[in-house]
Amino acid sequence: MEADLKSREHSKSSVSSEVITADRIRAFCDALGAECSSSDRDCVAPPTFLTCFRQGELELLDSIGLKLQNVLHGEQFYEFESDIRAGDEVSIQTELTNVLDKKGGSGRLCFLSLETLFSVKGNVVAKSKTTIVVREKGAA
Amino acid sequence: MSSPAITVGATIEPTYFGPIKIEHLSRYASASGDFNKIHTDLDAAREVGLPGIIAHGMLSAGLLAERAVQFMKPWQEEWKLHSFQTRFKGMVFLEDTVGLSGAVKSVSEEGLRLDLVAKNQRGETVTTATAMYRKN
Repeated sequence: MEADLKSREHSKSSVSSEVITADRIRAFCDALGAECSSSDRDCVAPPTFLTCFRQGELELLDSIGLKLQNVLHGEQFYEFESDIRAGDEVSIQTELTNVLDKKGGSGRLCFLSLETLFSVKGNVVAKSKTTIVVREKGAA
Repeated sequence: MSSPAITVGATIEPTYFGPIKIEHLSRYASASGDFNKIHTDLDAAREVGLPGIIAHGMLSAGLLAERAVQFMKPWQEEWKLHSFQTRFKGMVFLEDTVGLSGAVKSVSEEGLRLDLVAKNQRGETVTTATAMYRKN
């Protein structure tokens, strides 16, 4: 399995674009029971809001024959350069940066690192790194 | 007036989310766009070998992040969130209640580290997170 996936290291998703709306931020805050500023202009996305934009990750997983329900989400990391606000148009691209094969007690596990850059007007505003765990049987 | 300086050992006392109902998960699915059926459909969950419907890992992560945001509010002029890392240690099932707490692990000129943990009603750690702040 890892030989196949290893060869896909550094493959990139297409670039997609999303306009962040205050409604979307509010819906996300509501689902977390979180406080949210009410005026549209001041509406800042909460820390984990970027999880709404996993299309690049899904595209890459799909391209290597993996389905979300068959993999585990192991870790999630975000690094922020600046606030993401309602009205921002964010461009999104994901890269499969690393494929690591590990022998565990219950068989082989494969760890995939997916890094996504989020940019507004050409400037990176945030980075995310998602660690996906694939059990050998779960691989397509 | 500025708030008193934040120090190592300052804690976020537990608050609770739950018992988690299907409505919570449907609402989070719609808001996040994560419509993986293992979070809303028992048959789909069982099909992939799960004993029941599980909550989105990012729901617990989001709840921890929100605790961090609220805790740091008095110091938001001084400290800015630089990174947020979360690890999924265990699954959260329907009807579970998660307790969310945290503590300041370190403070220096370079940064502030806030560790957060979500535990289920049996006291088992389900999600951990580390929020790193930098001076504004």
